[in-house]
Amino acid sequence: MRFEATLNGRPVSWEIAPHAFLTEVLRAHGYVGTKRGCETGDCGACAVLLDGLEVNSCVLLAAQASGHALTTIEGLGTMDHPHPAQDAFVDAGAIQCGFCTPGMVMATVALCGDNASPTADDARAALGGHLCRCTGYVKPIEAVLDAAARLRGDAQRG
Amino acid sequence: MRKGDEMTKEFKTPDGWDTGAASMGEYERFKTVNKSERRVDALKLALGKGTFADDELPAGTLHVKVLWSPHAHAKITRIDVSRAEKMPGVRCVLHHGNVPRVPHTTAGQGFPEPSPWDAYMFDDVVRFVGDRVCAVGAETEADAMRALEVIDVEYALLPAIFDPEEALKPGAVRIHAGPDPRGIADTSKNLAAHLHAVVGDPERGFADSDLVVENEYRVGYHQQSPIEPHVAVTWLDENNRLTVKVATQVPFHSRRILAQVLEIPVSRIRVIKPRIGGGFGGKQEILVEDIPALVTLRTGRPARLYYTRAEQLVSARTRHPAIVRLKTGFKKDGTMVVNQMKAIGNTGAYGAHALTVFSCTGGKALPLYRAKHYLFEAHVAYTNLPIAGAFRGYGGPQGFFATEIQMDIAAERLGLDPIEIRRMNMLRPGDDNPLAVALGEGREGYPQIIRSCGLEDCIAKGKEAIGWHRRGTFDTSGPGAGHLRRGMGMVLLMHGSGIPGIDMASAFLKLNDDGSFNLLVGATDIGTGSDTILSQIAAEALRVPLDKIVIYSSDTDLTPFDTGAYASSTTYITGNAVKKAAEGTLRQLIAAAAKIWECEELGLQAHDVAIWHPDGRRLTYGEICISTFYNHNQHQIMDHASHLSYECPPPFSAHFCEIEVDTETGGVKVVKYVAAVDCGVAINPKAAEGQTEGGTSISLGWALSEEFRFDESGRMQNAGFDGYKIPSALDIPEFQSILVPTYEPTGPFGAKSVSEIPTDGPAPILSNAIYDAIGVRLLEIPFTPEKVLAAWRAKVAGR
Amino acid sequence: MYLRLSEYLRPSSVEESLRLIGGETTALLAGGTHLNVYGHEHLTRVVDLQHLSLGGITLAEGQQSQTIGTLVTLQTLARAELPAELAALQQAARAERNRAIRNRTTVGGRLARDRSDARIATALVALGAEVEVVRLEGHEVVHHVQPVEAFLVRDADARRRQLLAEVRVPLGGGFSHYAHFGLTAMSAPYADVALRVTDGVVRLASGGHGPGSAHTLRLGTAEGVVASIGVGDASGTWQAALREAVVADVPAYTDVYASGAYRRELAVALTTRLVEAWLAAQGVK
Repeated sequence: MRFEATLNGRPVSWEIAPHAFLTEVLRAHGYVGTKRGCETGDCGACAVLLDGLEVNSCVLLAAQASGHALTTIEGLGTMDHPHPAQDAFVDAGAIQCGFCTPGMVMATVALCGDNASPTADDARAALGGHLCRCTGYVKPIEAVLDAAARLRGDAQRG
Repeated sequence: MRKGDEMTKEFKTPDGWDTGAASMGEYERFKTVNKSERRVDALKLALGKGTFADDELPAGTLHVKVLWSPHAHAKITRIDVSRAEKMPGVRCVLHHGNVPRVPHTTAGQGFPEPSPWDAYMFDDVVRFVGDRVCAVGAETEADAMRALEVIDVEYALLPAIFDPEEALKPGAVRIHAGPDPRGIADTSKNLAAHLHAVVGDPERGFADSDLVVENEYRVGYHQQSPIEPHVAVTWLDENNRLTVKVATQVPFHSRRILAQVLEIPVSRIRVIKPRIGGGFGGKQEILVEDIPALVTLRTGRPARLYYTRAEQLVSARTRHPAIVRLKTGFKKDGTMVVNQMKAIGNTGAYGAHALTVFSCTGGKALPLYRAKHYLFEAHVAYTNLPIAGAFRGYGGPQGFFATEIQMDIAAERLGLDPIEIRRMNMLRPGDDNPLAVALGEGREGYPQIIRSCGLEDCIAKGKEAIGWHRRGTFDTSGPGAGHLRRGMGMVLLMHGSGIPGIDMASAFLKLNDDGSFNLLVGATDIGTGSDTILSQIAAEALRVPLDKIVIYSSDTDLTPFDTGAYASSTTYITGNAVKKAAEGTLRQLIAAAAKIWECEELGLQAHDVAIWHPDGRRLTYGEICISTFYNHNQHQIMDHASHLSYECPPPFSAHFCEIEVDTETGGVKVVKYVAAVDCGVAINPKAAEGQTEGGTSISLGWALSEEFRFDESGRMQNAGFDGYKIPSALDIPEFQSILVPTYEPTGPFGAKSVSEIPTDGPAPILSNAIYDAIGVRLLEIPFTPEKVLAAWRAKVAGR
Repeated sequence: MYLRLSEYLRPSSVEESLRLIGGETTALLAGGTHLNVYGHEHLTRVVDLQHLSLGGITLAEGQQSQTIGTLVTLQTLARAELPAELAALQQAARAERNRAIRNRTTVGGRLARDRSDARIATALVALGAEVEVVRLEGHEVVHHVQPVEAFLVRDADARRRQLLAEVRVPLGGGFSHYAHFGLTAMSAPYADVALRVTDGVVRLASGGHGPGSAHTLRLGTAEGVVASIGVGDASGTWQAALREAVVADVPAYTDVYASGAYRRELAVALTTRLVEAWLAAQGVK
């Protein structure tokens, strides 16, 4: 069947199987920043934005997303112009193996989208569905708060 | 007390700076080292551009799925794959009848591996629920799955053993019978490995003691759970060489063991480590790559095997469950006289890492306190359960769970402060380690001297950060005491830096036209940041900023040898190799400059990407390169170095925590956790903090929520992140990591290791804190709410 | 992960949806976050309800009840401006702590799953909610209203042929609260409890006491104890009676994660806390 969506601001039209999950379809078409970490929607490494809302693409059929707007990590920033949330994660030392990072960055963007001044507890709650084994979440939480500050236009936090 | 200490390297730099005499003053001189430089790979990872194994598949890749055993112990009496072979998309089916039978170990260790050769690619015996039966390579994953469904296997069930002590009893069914396996300590007793080490006369020690404390401690299964499951992609290149792109911590061991198992020469194999999504020891294993490699060899097609999370939990590797019986003798003033540890280990169905993990159980935990007598014994048994292997901490967490709770128990019995009894007995600079010779990993060890030890500072800073003075002030009775009870706990820890006399690493550096350098290392960055750390060491030694180093790592064709990412060896061993190669390169730069200027080398200085003449002239590294590439004295300025150390300087750490126990639900909430660590000079402080924070969170999960639940047939019932609960951001406490600076003279720019030591702390500290909070002493993890509540109720009822 | 669907369909009306469902190899998808867990390999057709106009939280005529459309997501429910008396429902929605799951999981989808850790099911039972279900009888779309407890115990045939259209929660003032506890912050709870007291009528429900949705229970005996707590009752007497009542109401369900004895203890503790919260809300100690 046909999958038609707006992906990172551009229209795409792909032939997919009805049972294909969104993670595998995105990855098969080169959007490999979205990762496969579990099959149960628990780890968040597959998170993307669907109509601006953070969702786990591993538990969504691609077909369900057809006709909608999708944002993957590739749509946020580039080497020359990283998204402020991406810079925040780099500067905080919040990235070790990097496998959970795209999902965490998507969560951060989603959080800041509806809460411009999150608290540390808000940051923890936003990262709750993003499992990480490397960092213990300490620096990622700092990164989320710093990302919010950058997006508000505050001076860079220490 | 000092014994045979041989320094293993020269410490003078090419321009006369003696780093062997270096000490804390060096901190003033560092330009790149000890700075939290932006990691060299962080931005691409934030952009989703780091290429992990599954991110790039060659055209025509076949997908491999494995059929796993439904039985804990059985002989395969018949296997019929004929229907599977005819299924749509199927290109290759492998089973014990059509693959080479090569006994080997899957453990990623040096040769000869100190683990039994008891594994086969496919065997006609299955030894745990989740063991390999056969595999299919097909055009799609779905094709492979459907083919598995029509494979016909007949099993003759054998008695299964799920308890290591049962396994060791006479008459127990033999899990590894037959003539093939090698290196098993005693197959008739299901004994994979046995260790015995004695210092002094323990029985005399107990006789001399005023107090003898004896307890049994139990720890269970723990899975590394990297967010990226195991994955390998294999293909034949245009020279018909097998290329293996695998999420591995040990590319060189992988190459060697693949050559053994596939029966092809090492020269025909290239192993590349791409970005890896965490390993924590689980990827220190030749776990998944052999099957797609053989599919590739048989079909000529690329092949990929990517574990699901369920497979990752059951059919990968785990920490070794253990029963640790600890008997410790003290004088009444708290002086430790004798420490005796007897461990029963469960290595699961195959013996990878059995001997060496338990060497560390004794070897990392016992030496922290200076007793006159020690005894360590371990019996590591096979069972028909998931396979234990390497997991960050590597036996240390099992040992410290026992020793650090025992110290608290002794303190209470003797009426001593728990910190003071530890300070009284703990290692200090200048001390040796009498167990080090007796407990080398798989062979005799080497004498050790403590040259750097920041334990006193770790204790002082940790105490202050947690507010230790508040301990004992929480209201636990009377009208103010609700159902929430607070408590505090502490532990002291040590670990190691590399495996003395065994871990070898090497590095290669070459100069480029613009004064930049290519640094090639075999060392594997598995998210630990070693690419950045090693680049910082090179940059410091070469007197250049970090962005002048272009690092490429872990490709067996292009990078020189490294044992890999384990044993906390990369910073300490590979770092020294990098430093030596950088110093050699710097010597060449100075020599080349002297040739250009036609002057003496003595007096020339190096800094800011240039060589400086005393009269003020300078030649940039780029100018020197252009000259030596194209004009005069033409040669490539490059150097290489290898490093091996007979020293294994321990990092030291003090952990403190405050918890709150809900006596109605049994829930344990960790309110605050402080980890103060002496890792020598932290090459990258933020990275060292990150290792401390991550390692601690892993063991917090082990202590509170992670366990394998088996049914009566040995099948794991909670194989998924929905059932196997690792800590989330909402579970971790307010955390403070404190780096306590010391200077380790044998380390590269004073560094020691940092990544494994934090895993040793949480399990015992929580037991100590729970006792402080509710007066209940728990000696078996995990401390689930149900367990804590039951223990609390029993205490309240006076049982 | 390895589904074999041959059809993915997006009907645009309830009637069309009802004509498509009913077969054993057909599944309904609302937000659809449950398919990737193993056990769905037998499905051939999936019917996606996203185009149906079943989202929306409104007040019914006369403001007697709060209507929640079946396609309202848990996230929308968690953040909606609802009367304070419906606190239990919003607390239960927030008890699904995974935000990405909350963004997709719908009220209808979660209620329709055969699980007793749904969380909102417990709250809705305590709140005395009703559901409107629709099914085809011949060619006619038939609407039927039933208490949510009845919906939760419906048989396999009803599970396949019915579509839940909306949930209605009666309003009338009063107090409600919800409590849960699990192994970790992100775990599904071992057990949960919800309380509603409106016009002196006490309703208590508890979930987790069995594998399926039928094991979300009313705690009838405990309701009696709570209803008889007089204003100014000395503390210490009702707790013991409540404990005995909850122990009587709740079976000791043992599963992979917890023993029945522990689960029952938890139900006692959580119920007691809810009653304490209610008494505190009334200014009673």
